[in-house]
Amino acid sequence: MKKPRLNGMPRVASPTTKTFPWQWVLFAPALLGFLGFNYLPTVASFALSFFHWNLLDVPRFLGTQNYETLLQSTSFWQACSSTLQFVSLSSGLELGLAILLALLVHQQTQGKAFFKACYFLPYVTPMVAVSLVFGWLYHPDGGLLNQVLLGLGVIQHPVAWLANPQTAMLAVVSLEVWKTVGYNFLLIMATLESLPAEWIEAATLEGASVWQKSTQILLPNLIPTITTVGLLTLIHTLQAFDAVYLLTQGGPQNATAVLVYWIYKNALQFFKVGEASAMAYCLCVLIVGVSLLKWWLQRPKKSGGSSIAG
Amino acid sequence: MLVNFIKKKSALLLLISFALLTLLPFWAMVVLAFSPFDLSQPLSLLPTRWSVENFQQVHQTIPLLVYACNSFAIAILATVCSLYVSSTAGYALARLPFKHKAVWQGLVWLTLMIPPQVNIVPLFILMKQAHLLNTHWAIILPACISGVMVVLYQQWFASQPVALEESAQLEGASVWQTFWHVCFPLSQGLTITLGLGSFINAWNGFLWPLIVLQEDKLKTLPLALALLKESFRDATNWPLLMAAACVSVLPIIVLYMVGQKLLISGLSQGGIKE
Repeated sequence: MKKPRLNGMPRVASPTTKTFPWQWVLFAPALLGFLGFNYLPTVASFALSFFHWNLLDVPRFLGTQNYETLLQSTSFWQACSSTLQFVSLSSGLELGLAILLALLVHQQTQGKAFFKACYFLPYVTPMVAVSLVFGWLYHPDGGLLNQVLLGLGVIQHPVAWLANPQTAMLAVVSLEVWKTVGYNFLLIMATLESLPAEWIEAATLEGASVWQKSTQILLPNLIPTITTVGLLTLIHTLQAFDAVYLLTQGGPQNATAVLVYWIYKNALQFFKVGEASAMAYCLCVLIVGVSLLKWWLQRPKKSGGSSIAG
Repeated sequence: MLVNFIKKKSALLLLISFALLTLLPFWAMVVLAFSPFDLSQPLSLLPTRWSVENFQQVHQTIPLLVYACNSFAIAILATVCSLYVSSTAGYALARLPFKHKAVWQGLVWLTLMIPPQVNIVPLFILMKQAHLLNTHWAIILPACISGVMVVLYQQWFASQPVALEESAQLEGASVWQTFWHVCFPLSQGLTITLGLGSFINAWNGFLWPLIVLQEDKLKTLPLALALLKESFRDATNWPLLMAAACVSVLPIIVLYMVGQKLLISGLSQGGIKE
């Protein structure tokens, strides 16, 4: 048995747990939930990716054929290329803007709380409501963007922003970036605020500019956080669905049909369950890969004992 | 003078303009919601006439109140259940003895890596088999289970001194009593933060409700909004849509105003681990 603590005090909970398995009573709901809603579906999804099934008939075993079909289908590769575009544009912008804003807000003397509250607000608002507003902003008939650009004389005729493959992608990216940048911003702010304030004070006394303080003092200390936030953003953008579904329905010409949108369409509109599961697994492997990388990168930092996340 | 001022305050000006850009869609939503529907002239961000017709009209077009109640019921049940499930599991993992604890802990951690999208199809089939499709339980039950919340509760409980619990135990309190009367009340700050987060998540949820709710009278506000938009064929009645959007955003804004500090500080402490 384990040794008793000081003065013979019992270890928390050990006397009663001998008679009654409290730990299992408390842990069971979560455990059942994880098994039923996480692990069972994940395993089932893997199994389904080897079958042909339309949700009605008896599933037919196909072996690896779903994966082969996938690799040969142009639509899969198009979805991959859309996803790549979407992910690189939005995670780049989300990270870059968040760093810039955090560095500047951190060096402000006033209004920090306001900027934090303001930039984070989009993150908590429902995507559907927000996407309606963006739908109007980009609308060809009297949308705000066209009104402004026509007024300034930049364009002569109204542009259908969501009907052109290139601008549609940018429109979806802008919605995603607008909504998420505040989250990254807050994570980076947390690290900045954990740095000793004297560093900045001393540099200010010596007449360093905002740019010098940012690049020479703050940024070097931000690298671990930026890596973590960057990988988080990568995971997050790989999973994007709502913005695409609501703003462009994957169009025009499938230009904005990212992977999750394709999984949704194939599974629940075309009822190609096997193929959708195979696609979902490809995405899963990618995301788990990024997660493992993040976990591996975070490890040495943790053993060092200095972490804001404690 | 002016040039100097701009140079000195350029960072502040940049931040303010970005803040305006962030708030612009909210401004547009509210202004459009109060603008009269008139196809002859484009909608403006500075309307000359304000009206509440849109709110009355949206109330007549769709049963907005029913959708709002659905959203509320789902969000509140999901929040309460997820707080219960995560706090008990977090406490058990932090304080109680388990055989092979590392395995159970790993099981929780691993769920953070699996993207939810991979589970959608099997979860849909599971709900169908359990006859839970077209019920709110299909949304509430999976929403109760959050690996992040378990991990955050576990870390919080593990960081607390054991003295209080030991004295409670010496006075004959059971494990449940110790948890419920001593430890859980102490975790109030974290509980409010996580509760806010899970309410907002459940309220905003779109993809999963879209899949499992087909029956009209069960739908949530976000689904109703998306449906309302699709119902316009030729000319979209933007003011009407924005009025409905305002209704769906309002509870979130209120919650945000109340709990914004907690939400932001909680996220700063725990968010990096997600």
